[in-house]
Amino acid sequence: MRAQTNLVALGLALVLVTGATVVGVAVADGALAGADRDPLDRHAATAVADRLVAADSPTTVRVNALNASRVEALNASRVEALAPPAERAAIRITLDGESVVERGNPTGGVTVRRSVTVVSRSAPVRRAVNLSRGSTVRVPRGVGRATVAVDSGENTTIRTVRAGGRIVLYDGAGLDTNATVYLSRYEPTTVRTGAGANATGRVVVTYRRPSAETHTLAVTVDV
Amino acid sequence: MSDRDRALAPVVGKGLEALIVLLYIASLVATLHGGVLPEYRTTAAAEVSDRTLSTAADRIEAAVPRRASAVDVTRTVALPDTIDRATYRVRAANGALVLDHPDPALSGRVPLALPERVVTVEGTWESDDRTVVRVRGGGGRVRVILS
Repeated sequence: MRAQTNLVALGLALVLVTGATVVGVAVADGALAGADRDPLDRHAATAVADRLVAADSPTTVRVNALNASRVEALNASRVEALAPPAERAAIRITLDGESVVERGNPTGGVTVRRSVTVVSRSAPVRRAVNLSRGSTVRVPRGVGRATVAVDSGENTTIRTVRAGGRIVLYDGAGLDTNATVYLSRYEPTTVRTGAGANATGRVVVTYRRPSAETHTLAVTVDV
Repeated sequence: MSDRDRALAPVVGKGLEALIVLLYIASLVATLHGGVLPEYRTTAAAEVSDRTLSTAADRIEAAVPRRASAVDVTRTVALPDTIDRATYRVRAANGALVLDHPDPALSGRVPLALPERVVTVEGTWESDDRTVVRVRGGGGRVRVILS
């Protein structure tokens, strides 16, 4: 029996080797599970975010600038039409944490973030000036377009309207119009009428002041 | 115990040890190759297939330039030659990118997100061939060709 004693040692060695193999397989399992990065989820989320902020998208006014009212009207089927990879997927789109579109529960999904400006147009601002008291209206910066309504009173002829020194409306026989004029967005503009000292009547300038706010657009998609 | 038995004992012992080790190794190899390894190979291949498909889709989407009067873009897309030791094909079908692999479990399909001015996406890539995406057209109509 003496010769057979090292069988015990052999058995022990085999148990150790088995243990090492099991540990190795478990580690490999973990590595394989950790390498799963949901490329299709990532692709879908990136595609949705990119299509939403693209210059030719219906939701933007220019690249990376979202149109607030269009974003308000966004829903899951419109997102699908815009970015087909989101078909039948759970989606959540938020602007600074505030939900815009939500369908399903994309807990296991990938989130893609984009910094965007949201451009919204305010209610029209109406500035009227009585020509007997003054003849200028100041339009703030960032307004590209204004409507000027000239309503001259008796014994008054207004031939020109200038915006920042540039003649934007002219009629030699006297203006009596309601016209849209284009202004520089980059500086405040003074709208001035060429009215004399004893002029009567009124000039009304109407414009919308766009407001742009920076937000973070987060798109989570779980295919 | 006779003298002969005494001389035989170590031989039997060593023979037994060798036998046990051989059996052990055989069973280990059988387990690893029979169950664990093919499973890992399939899992890894499925992951490679998914990534290949989404990378190819990303590259195609990135190849479409912004609106211009004339568009002529040629880009090489790097794809793995084989997935799970088999060549495969990537083709465009109905606005989606389809990966055809001999093993159906490794095949896949991903829709492409392209601007509306892209009118068609067509063509096929062979994984072991040169894979190039071409974007041709102008104005409001652009074609994407895989070749």
